[in-house]
Amino acid sequence: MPSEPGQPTAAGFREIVATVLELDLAEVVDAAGPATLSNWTSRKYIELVVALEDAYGVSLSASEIFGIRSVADLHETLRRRGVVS
Amino acid sequence: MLDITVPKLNTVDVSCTLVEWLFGEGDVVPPDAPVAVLETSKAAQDLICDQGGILHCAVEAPAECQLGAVIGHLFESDDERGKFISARAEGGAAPELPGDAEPVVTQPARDLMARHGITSERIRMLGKKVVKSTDVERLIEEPGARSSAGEHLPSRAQRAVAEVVTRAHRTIPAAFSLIKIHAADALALRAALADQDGVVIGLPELLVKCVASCHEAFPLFFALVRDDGSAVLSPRADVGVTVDVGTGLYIPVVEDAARVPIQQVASTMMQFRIKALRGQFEAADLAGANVAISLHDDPGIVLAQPLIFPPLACMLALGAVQDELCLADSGGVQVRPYFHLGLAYDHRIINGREAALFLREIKDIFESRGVLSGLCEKDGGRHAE
Repeated sequence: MPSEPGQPTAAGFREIVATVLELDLAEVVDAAGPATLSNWTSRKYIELVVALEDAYGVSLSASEIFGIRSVADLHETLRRRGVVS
Repeated sequence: MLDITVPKLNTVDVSCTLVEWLFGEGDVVPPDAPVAVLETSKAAQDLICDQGGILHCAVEAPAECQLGAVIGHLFESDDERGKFISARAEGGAAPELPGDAEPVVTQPARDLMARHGITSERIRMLGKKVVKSTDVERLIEEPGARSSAGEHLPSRAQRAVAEVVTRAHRTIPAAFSLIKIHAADALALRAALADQDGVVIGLPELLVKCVASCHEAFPLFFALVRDDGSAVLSPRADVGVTVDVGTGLYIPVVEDAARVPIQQVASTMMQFRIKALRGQFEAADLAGANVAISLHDDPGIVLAQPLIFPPLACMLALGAVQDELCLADSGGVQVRPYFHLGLAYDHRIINGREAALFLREIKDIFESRGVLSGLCEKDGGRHAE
């Protein structure tokens, strides 16, 4: 988990994804998404959004939330927001 | 003269707060204009009158109003309104109040009640038809007023849930059936749809489509039950689905779910979750269900007992996917996913045989990849009867 909200690390991002989706860290690869992860349900996905918003101090728009289809998309969305590198 | 009544706004609340009138007494209200703001435990909504007229406010805002209560009138002319007011004055009629037995408690008064643990019984003992915050303040100052320290005082939203589930238990003779459904085909289809469209479609979304597709063959499960046990059949399947992302329980409605594509069902349900998260539900999102599904698909949850929210005739409950070992055709042992689907139904209009047939139909759809795929076609494909 990131040490401070708004001061995240890439590792922190993947740890959050792994924790919320109940995955091994190794499963959190860029291509992972609803098509490849049975744990990526719509409910779990919202839980993930909530966890990331809390950790990084951002609020994603509905269009951002709808546009994410993979771990890479999720990371890119946060990168555009300037909260991950 | 047209009556302005409080509409039914969702499946949970039996009353709502008249927050404010948007026009003054005697103002001319144009057609299709919002005339007042109503607030349920879940959302605020403008009350729109499709016909205009000269306004007479029968209930002063803010006030708690029972659903169906007349809170105002619209007149065609000042003359008509004047005659109405004169007649009431001559007849010595008391001001109209929403509901007969229960006092009207304003929202500030309700907030005070909640903060200080003042019970509804103590409010009734005041013998007042309208209870304001000053009335509650007097009760707070009385010896014996309960402190909120060490007590749990539910939120307004939770009190609304409490009211409806209590009413459900009190008024609906519910029976229950449970069926086990193998999920391999549904999970495979879920993955295929996610790969194809990038849409997150899970068992809840598939279940909404599946249940809705049974509307024509099982109309009683989509009926609205009256207090006398008779029922009104619904022309289409409007499926309520529980949403709880930690901000309270909501039951928004996927309208005409049999006819809309699965992608739209999934998109709508995702929007509902976002609205729940952001506190952005509108009353229209929560109104009009004629069947409901309670989602309890957290890992390890075998099943939860569904409650029937009046006036619905039934409620389904979806448990989490579990794994079991079974014999494969080859004779070896393989893992097979399954889930439980529960059905609580109003025994006044539905018997166990119909319940079994309804559940069996859903099971057959879920366990047939071809039929389930048909339901998920882009045209909103419907299950062949």
